[in-house]
Order: sequence, then structure tokens, then C-alpha cells
Amino acid sequence: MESNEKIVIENPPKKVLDFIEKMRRDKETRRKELLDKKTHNFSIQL
Amino acid sequence: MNLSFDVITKEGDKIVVSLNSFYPYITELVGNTFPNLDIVEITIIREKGDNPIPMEAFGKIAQVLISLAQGNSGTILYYFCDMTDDLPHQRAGRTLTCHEYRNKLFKQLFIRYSNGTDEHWTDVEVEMRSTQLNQTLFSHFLLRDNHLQLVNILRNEVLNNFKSISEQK
Repeated sequence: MESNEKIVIENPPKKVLDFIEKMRRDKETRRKELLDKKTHNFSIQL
Repeated sequence: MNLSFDVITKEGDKIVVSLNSFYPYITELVGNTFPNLDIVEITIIREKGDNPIPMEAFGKIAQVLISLAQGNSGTILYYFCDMTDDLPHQRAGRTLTCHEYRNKLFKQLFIRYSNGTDEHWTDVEVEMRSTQLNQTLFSHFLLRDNHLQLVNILRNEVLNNFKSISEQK
């Protein structure tokens, strides 16, 4: 069962944009770390 | 929660998914209200191949998310639609940016996710439109009804320029 809700924020303040920028950099780092990772907890073959 | 798994398609493409608990200061902010809170960020990347990813792969990913989230009543799943990498398979005539594409993709994943459980889940899409960045940013919180209040708290924090967080630091 599911429902959806949407929040729209127009022009968030600078501190929020700085936070988002940090979050974006963190995410890029995690993506790179994930690509470098040789083994994972489990694997699924379709 | 910190784990990763991969899904290998019949064509040999490899999709890697990670789940990572994150942003402890959000937990600090609302920890008294939600003592078992665990916000888990989902990261999905293509490690190998360039074929279109079949919906079967997303279905498998959704099944794993179901089983992991059901094991912890404090879990909230979070997905930030990042802007790295181009879209390898844009249909003719469509001009979605990569984060718009990921936004639609996560919604699709959520439908598959929530259809597989008896619990009631809400997909809260947060859309931030910034003229300063000249971009619209998308993120999703996938949560149970008892966590809906958290989204209102975070929304107020954003609108108040993270005042409470600043005061804590």
C-alpha cells in the first residue's frame, strides 16, 4: 500500500543550498567508493 | 545500516546498490521524538554494461529494500537524485535531465516497493527550485505513517534556514 506527498520549496535559503551542495559532494564520494568496492554483501543474478 | 549488493542482468550488466545510514544531526534534531530513527540513503549505480536496465532488476532491488526495511521499524529510506553521469538511454524526443530521470525512476521503484508489503508507506518527494543554482533538485523520503511528522519538522527546518541545527552546533 502506498501514497504520495510532494513538498515544493521555492528558492531555499543559502544555508540550505550549502547543505545540498555538501550532500551532493558526499553522494559523489559514496558513488566513487562504491565503484571501487571489490566485494558486496550479496549478489543477485537475474 | 551499511551494506551493498549487486544485481547482474541477463545481458551481463551490473548494477550496484548501497544502503548507508547518514546525517546523524537529523537524528540529533528529532531523536527524542523518534528514538529508533535510522535514515538510510539509497545509492544506485551502473558498474558494468550499457544496455537498458530491465524492470526485473528494479523489481529485485525493490524486494531487497522491502525485506531490509521491514526488519527495522525505525527505518526511513532516502534517495537524493544526483546529477552525475549522462543518461545512456534517453528516448527520442525526451529531454529529461539525469536528476529528473532519477526522480521518475525512484517513483517507479517505490510503486514496486510498496506493492510488495502490507504496511502503508508514503513517498514524500521534496522538490527544491533554485533560481540561484538555475536547477530543480529532487529527493525522496520513503516512510511509514508514524514518521510523517518528521517530514514536517525537516520542512520547517529548511524554511527556517536550519536555525535549530545551527543553534545546536
